[in-house]
Amino acid sequence: MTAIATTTPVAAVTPSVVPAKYVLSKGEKRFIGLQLLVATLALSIGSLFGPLQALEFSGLTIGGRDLYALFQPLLASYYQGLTLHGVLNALIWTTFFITGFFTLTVTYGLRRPLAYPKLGWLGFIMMTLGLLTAAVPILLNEASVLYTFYPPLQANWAFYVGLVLVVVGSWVQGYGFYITYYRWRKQNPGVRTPLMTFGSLITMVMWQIATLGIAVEILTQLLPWSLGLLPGVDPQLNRTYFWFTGHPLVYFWLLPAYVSWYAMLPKQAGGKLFSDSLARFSFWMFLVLSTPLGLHHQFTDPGVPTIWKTIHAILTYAVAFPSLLTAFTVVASLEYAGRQRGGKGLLGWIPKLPWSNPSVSIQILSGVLFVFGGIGGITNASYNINLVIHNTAWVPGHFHLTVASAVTMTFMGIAYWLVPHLTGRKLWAPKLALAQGWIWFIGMMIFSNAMHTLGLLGAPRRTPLGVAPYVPANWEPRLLQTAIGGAILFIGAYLFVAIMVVTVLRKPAPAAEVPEVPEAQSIQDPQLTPAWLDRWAPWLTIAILLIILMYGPNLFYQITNMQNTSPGFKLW
Amino acid sequence: MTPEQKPEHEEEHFKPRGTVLMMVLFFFTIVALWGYVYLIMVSQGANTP
Amino acid sequence: MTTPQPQSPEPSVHIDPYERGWMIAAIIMLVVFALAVAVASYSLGIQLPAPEARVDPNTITTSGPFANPGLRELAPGRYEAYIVAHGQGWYFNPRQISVPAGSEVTFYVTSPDVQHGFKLEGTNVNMMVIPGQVSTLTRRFDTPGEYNWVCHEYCGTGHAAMYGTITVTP
Repeated sequence: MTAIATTTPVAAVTPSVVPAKYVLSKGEKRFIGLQLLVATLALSIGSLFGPLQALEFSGLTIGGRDLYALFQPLLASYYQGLTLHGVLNALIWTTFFITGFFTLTVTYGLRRPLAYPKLGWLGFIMMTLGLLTAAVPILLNEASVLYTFYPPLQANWAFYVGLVLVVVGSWVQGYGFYITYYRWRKQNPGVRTPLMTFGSLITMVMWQIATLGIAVEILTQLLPWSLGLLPGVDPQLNRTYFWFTGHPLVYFWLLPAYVSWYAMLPKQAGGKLFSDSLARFSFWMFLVLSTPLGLHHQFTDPGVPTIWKTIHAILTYAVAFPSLLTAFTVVASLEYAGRQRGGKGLLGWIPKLPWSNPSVSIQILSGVLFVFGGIGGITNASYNINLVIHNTAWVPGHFHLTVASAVTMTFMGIAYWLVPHLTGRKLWAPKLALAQGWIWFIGMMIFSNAMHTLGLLGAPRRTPLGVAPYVPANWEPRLLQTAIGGAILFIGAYLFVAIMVVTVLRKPAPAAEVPEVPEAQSIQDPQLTPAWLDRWAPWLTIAILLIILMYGPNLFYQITNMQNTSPGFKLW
Repeated sequence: MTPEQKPEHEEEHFKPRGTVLMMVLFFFTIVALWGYVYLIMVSQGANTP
Repeated sequence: MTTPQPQSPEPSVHIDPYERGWMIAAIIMLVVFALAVAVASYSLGIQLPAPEARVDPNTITTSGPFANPGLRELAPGRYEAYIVAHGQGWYFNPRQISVPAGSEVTFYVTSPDVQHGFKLEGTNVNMMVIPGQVSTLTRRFDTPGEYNWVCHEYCGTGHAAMYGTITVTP
């Protein structure tokens, strides 16, 4: 490539002082590692309840009593377990992993330490305090409201306070990233932001805009209500607040995986990123479109006019576009890698990919599952088609292909090089790690296929179907299939945890044997990507305008017609 | 051989033909699975008077 | 900028022709999906629930149409069913209704306490039931048989037991 890169005049404005790589300090490694530790702990506890739920579906009883009877008084009900599973796996595992990973992508990408490491620590401590604060009522069965916490089911106030602390703590870490970036930008005018940092910053900004929804929900309604300061809340309005955050939340999970797929995986696979400009364009589209489409989660809500549901359906179709683009760019980057490794013919590059590298193979497998997750997502968003599957088992089937596959498997793949990198150890049992990815893949295929089918047959979500009186015979084989898939996933989860634990406990390895941060180059020099794809003001303006236009009128109507008539209920 | 050792045109003229094939498969999978649920919706009929 | 040299391209979005083709295919696909959805919505009458009425969940069981829930015949073969989804005790009131084949039933559902769901098996009647709001959709029943509706939103520990039945008589 290099003919272009060396002769272009643009290269002349690039300071040649950018170091080739950045060595993280011990403190930075400890800070990132600690966040991954909390994330993995959450995953290990949250994953305990998955197989219980799946086995419950099969109607398995022990001594004539349902499974949950065995765990009393530690676990009061299916729903306390489901709350733990959702909160720990979907909210805590993801958020802590992401803030840790972004600390790496910002510092390594920009080749500089955080401007204020103490701000990072402050954010992390707030998040951890929030986690502990929310954990107390959940463990005492005082907050079995699931991770959507729809009122008027009312949790103990500490649950809401804990969630706010986790979110605000992640904002504080974000502020640290922004300041670090701002300083780098001042010293490096005209240089394209390194892609891993670029994607991470956009994700963080998107998250900070989107979480305003649950911030307002909790601070103006749920918290004062749970403290007895407000006699009632408006459940419909709270659903709208929640989904203002709820859909971008899935992009907050997904985009860090995209950061890995775009900015790291091509390098790990032995190639380069196929298109730097389109990668950046996709991230901007996610910033602009992630938030003003949350009403597609409320298609069956009685209190939202259909015109707004229609508009949000169209915007959801629009946000499918950057993901379809991502599919092409990532696959083309892998094809490039496979051809560099000697692959010939139309598909000969596929077997040439480094399938023996557990980090690479689990990420590719996550992408395969995400094909089906994406198709399910387009189906969910398709306005009246949503009536077929809304709140059926299809929906958890769908998000297990997204957050529990595309995201979680990619995070596991990242951990397979990142944890050795941070600890200076070699990954323990790489063949077992390789098997772990395949086990998760197979378990998820079985599980999600059953859940999607159950949904099409009409089985409701969030329901212990093993005890439901209305289950027809044609659900039974699928309920059993769910149990099998869930059990395999449980093995996959704990293999991951075991590999991480043993890796950390190993003896330090020689520096040369410890993996480095894989930073992918792109085929075309990023300096040839136009400057408008590296400029915040226009995109941020469009994002905020679009939110005001697409959410403003309906939200204004709902707020000005607020009826705080619902007192709290604790029906568990 | 590393990419750097390849002559320039190798990269300049890289045509992701395999990717196109994968995307064609992807396209028809989307249409088939989405269409399947669409037809279920149609078969379930109207929900307005 | 410096004077352009022959070998030095200006920054521009370089899009591979294959990728451009994929982008066009993706856009066409999404547009066709949207059109198909619009056809189902406007020609086949498969609609999403729309705002019907707001109520006070604290008084619905004592006043208004939900105080005496059940089936009402508006005209021969046309019915409306007022149904209350109760989270305290986890049941629908009424649990069972019965109509002759060929009837058209408009369901009105609300809740005096927490959120619930209402999904009628084998149909596109699928609604959230939210305290303070009335959810409504309509269904025509031509084939005799028993059809269940289930609650599909978590409403407390007894949620799994919460369902109702419509019997369509010949």
